[in-house]
Amino acid sequence: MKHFFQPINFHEHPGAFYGHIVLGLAVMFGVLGILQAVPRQYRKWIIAVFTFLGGLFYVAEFFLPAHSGKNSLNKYDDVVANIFVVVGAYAIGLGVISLLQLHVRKVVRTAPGWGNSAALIISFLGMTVFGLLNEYAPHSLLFHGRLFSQGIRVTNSSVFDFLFTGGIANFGSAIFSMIAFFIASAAYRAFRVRSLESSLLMTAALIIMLGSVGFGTILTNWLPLGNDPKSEFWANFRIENIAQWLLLQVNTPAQRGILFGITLGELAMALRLWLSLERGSYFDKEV
Amino acid sequence: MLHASDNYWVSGLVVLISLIIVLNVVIAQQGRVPNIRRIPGLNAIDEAIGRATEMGRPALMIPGITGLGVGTLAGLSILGNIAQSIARFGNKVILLSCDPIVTGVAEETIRDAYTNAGRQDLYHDEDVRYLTSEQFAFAAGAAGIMNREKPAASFLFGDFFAESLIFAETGQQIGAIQIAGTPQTEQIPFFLAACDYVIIGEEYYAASAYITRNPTYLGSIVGQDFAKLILISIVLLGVIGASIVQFGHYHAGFGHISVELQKLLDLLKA
Repeated sequence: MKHFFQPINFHEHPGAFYGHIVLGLAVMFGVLGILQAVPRQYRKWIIAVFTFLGGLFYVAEFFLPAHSGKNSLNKYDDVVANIFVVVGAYAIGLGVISLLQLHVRKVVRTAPGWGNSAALIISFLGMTVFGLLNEYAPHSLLFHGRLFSQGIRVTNSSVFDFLFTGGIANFGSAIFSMIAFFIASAAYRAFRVRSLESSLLMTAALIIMLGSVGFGTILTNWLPLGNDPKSEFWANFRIENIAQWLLLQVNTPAQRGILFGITLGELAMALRLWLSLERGSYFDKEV
Repeated sequence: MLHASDNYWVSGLVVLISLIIVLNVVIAQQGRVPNIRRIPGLNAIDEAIGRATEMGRPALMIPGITGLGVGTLAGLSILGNIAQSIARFGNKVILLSCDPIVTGVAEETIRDAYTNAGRQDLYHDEDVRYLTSEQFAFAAGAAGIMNREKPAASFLFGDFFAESLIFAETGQQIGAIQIAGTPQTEQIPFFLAACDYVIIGEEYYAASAYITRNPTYLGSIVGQDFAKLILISIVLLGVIGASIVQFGHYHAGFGHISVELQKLLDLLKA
């Protein structure tokens, strides 16, 4: 059972690979069929029981005594994680269907911006095709000849690399780099001195920025370093020490206070979900 | 800390807090419903909904960029309640999702919100859009939609990371009222700088309780407050204990107490 959910190398065991896919689909449709056949009033109970059992594994794994950092349930960690991955993989299909439905409809209706939708569909199909070919036939030759007086050899994996490394990765980096400009405009608004609070924020930010750069430390380098008890007091007023004090004694406790609240909120919500105590929104819906 | 046996003190505390929360939820479900204070950021939600309706422009929602976890579910719960108010005014919601599973749950949530408001005719499948699971591709797509469709209100509730400022600043540029909340503490400063209202810390998990006045949520909030009292007491005891230990280092008369307290503090830290 433990090995059943382990990833299978397609090249080494193609039969087992396809067998697991077919079996996985059969189990999925079987479970859906059973859920459909069960009377409505019992469906919530079935879901509650499975949710409880799923959470119970992690609770038991945490509370069972461990020796050298491991207990008897740790060896099943990967198996349970793989089950979640498999269940999650089915949902990707739902996302893809939703995405394509929207954009195909836009192209068919030639709605405003339909060109973007067409580009998305072509990109989606291109990445899907070359992603699969890269996995199962990476070295198959697509083109071999001369282009612009250069010898070129195009394989499935080189096209995939071009699309992924040359395209997606670069586009992602470009968007990421834009954050620098957004930070500048957001900082300008946040640090405008309009009230006592924004003045305090501006002052604290200025001290921390100066304390982090060489220029800032030069401003107070005439103060002693505090190596001896006599000069210890005056060393507190060096700008890098004030910046550290602000970060460690003011900022960190505030962050930890917020974290306490967030963690308690997460624990409460996790308990409500695990014990099926959650109400309101989609949880009260008839399933 | 991977196992309870690594620190039985902390594990015992987790069990105690869990029992307090569950007990308060059960008490509230049985009819003893507590009252909770108003959260200023949530007052602004009605203002944002009203403004979007008056301007005849849609409201945009993003439930974070992670999969279906506790933070996302809390965000979806808030967004579902906001969507119901928007639906009552006959306005449109656009929800952008970065995860296929979240998309499915979000579709159900928004559809239910319109149905509960009696305006299911206004709900369209394309209002809940899955863009991509790539972080910055999603950010680019969301920014593009914000620029093209010009929502008058933007609600950002969920787990956000480096892309948070792209959403918030784009919303700011198009003049949308923005209300945000996230359990990711690193992103709170970005939202504070760029959004009109921000729900901070545990308010994020209390928001649904406040909006819906649901006994389960309210009971949970009371349980969390009791747990917070316990944690604050422990922190105070730790501060007093650590101060006495420091004091003992300089004053010989406190040496014995100092050593014993140091042992206790080390035990708790271990």
